[in-house]
Amino acid sequence: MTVTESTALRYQQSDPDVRLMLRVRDDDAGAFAELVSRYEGRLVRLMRTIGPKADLAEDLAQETFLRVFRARKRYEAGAKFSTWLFTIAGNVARNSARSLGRRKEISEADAGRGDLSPSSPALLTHNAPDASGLMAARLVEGDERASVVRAAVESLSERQRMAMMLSRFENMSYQEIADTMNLTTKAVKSLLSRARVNLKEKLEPYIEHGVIENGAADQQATNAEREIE
Amino acid sequence: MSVSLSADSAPSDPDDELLVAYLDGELQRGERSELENRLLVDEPLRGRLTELQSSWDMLDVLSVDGSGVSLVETTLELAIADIDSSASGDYNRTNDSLQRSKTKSRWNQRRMAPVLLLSVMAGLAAWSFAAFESRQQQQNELRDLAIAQDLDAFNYGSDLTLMRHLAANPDWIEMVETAAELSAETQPLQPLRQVALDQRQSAIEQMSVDQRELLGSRWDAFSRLSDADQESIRQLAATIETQSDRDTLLNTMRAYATWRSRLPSGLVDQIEGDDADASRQAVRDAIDESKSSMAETSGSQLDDETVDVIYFAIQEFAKKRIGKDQRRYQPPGGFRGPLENPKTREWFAIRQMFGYPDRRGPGNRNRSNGGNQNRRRDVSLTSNEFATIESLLPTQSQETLGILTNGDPTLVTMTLQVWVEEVIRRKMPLRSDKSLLQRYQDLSEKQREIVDLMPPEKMLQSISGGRSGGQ
Repeated sequence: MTVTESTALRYQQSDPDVRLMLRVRDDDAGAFAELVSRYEGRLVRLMRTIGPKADLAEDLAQETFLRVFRARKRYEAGAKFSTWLFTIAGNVARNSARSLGRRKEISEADAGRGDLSPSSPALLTHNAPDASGLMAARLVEGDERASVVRAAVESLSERQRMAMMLSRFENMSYQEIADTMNLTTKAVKSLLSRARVNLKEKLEPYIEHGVIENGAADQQATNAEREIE
Repeated sequence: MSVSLSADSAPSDPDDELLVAYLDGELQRGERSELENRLLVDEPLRGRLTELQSSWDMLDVLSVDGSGVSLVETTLELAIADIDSSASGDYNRTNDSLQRSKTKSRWNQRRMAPVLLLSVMAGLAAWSFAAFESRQQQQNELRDLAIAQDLDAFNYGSDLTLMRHLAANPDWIEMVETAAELSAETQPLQPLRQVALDQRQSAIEQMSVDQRELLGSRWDAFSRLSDADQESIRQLAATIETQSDRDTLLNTMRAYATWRSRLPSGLVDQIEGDDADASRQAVRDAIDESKSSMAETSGSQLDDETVDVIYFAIQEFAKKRIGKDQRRYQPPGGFRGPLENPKTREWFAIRQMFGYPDRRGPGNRNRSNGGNQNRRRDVSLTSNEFATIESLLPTQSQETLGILTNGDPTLVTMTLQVWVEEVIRRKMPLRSDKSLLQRYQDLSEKQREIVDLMPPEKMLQSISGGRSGGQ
């Protein structure tokens, strides 16, 4: 897609990161280092949530930066830099999930049994409790609360998670999210609405009674085991 | 009942979409007004809005940025490796069967690769240098922060000779200690200069919010100084660090900075003047002035038990005096209403006997000239009556009196007179002991919302119950 001169000029003037990226295009590695420095924290946070596994977040963030670097010669200032970066990040996360999925299929075929990751949304959804499935009324705080929230977020679809992160933490407008995810604003509106409603459904028992659902409790136990290992 | 999550393709509730767009600030003005009107009358919809926002707010736990590990260096290294491998790959793939133009293009790319590699390495070096500079700057700021923390001390305590005189003056030390004991400051700032540079950041994080705000305001003040002034303060700080009595000096400088802010400017000028004798005399006068001033203000710190004890004592004194000379202590005549109440009549009699004997007009007390004029305060009780009050005081108040006066009989009498006047004031019939702030805080949330929107004058009138201006 070609970018008109006036659009490029507009983004150059309004977005300092676009100016940095144009310097990267001209092989200014210092500018690239500055961009990595500016976005690494946000990108790792995003990858922790939208990537297939939280512990791959740094690798995926790095892969995203490398793709930016490799694509530098083709870069045109057609959008805010963050929009472009997060679009690439979304693709990287999706590809990684696909490739992990393929590996899993092979290993499942080898092992002859299904073995969903304990943190997989599917398992959490499967374990989503009914009224009797709530753990004995147990107040949750601190780390427990974080685990409950993470489990709830992981139960969302990949696109809902992506839209949620861009809206909640990148403060992007519906239009910007639509640009990043290559969707219409109407689709973004629906996506965010579903994300909020789903989160509410998953977190309602915790908000109202301070109890952990079975799925989240399993998730916590798994996290604790991982930490011990 | 299990929770079923709606998939991306599932139809979503139009109301939910509307509420979410409202929460995300994505509604047009008309839509927003329409929804707000609905929310006013539709309680379930309001509940739904709250639920959708509550779960969203919980996402805060995901807000932590990254892992704290910098990816910059490793990413640049990967970029270098990427360029390197792509260059050598291109070279290996180059063979005679390729078209000439293609070969030329790849040769160019291969030739350019080292240039790019150098550029990336230069970038890495530049970034490392920038990171080093940034660390250096942060270290310098942490150094300056310790100086800024004592900015007033460095600003006003730069005369080290005067500071050493003060540090050796037992009267001054006693006065400063008394002021510190009576001060409401319960948690002094931890001096950052005593914390190692690499631990200062965590020391700051451990400070209370108030302490951090105070430190922040001092840092702002330091930052506003000119470069020359900042440098001169840094030099003074460095000089003090080399002194054998640096801790005593700094403590004195801090105390002096606080003390001088409460002194009349005339006295400060004399203390800091070139005439050594005049300076010493001014210090003595200022110490007296401060002690008197502390005694004057100590009344406001009396606890209820002390107030009751003193009032009981002066009630007894009043009864005796009235018994001896009834005609002299008649309450004002011609009034109806409150004065018909015996307690009110008693209070007026007590006030007439013991209260405010030295009411001074604005011109009768010239603080700006310094001196210990407060010591000449008139008293309304006999020495026996003062002694009785002193003996009846609760232990804590006796200790406060001791700290304030250090046994000086004149100061004891003066302080007790201040306390008696304060007690009479507090026992005034129909008086509300609550300050304007307390009254404001007592208001219901709804009342506060109404008051908050009033013009200042009306607000004051409303809180003070129509008695504006006096408090």
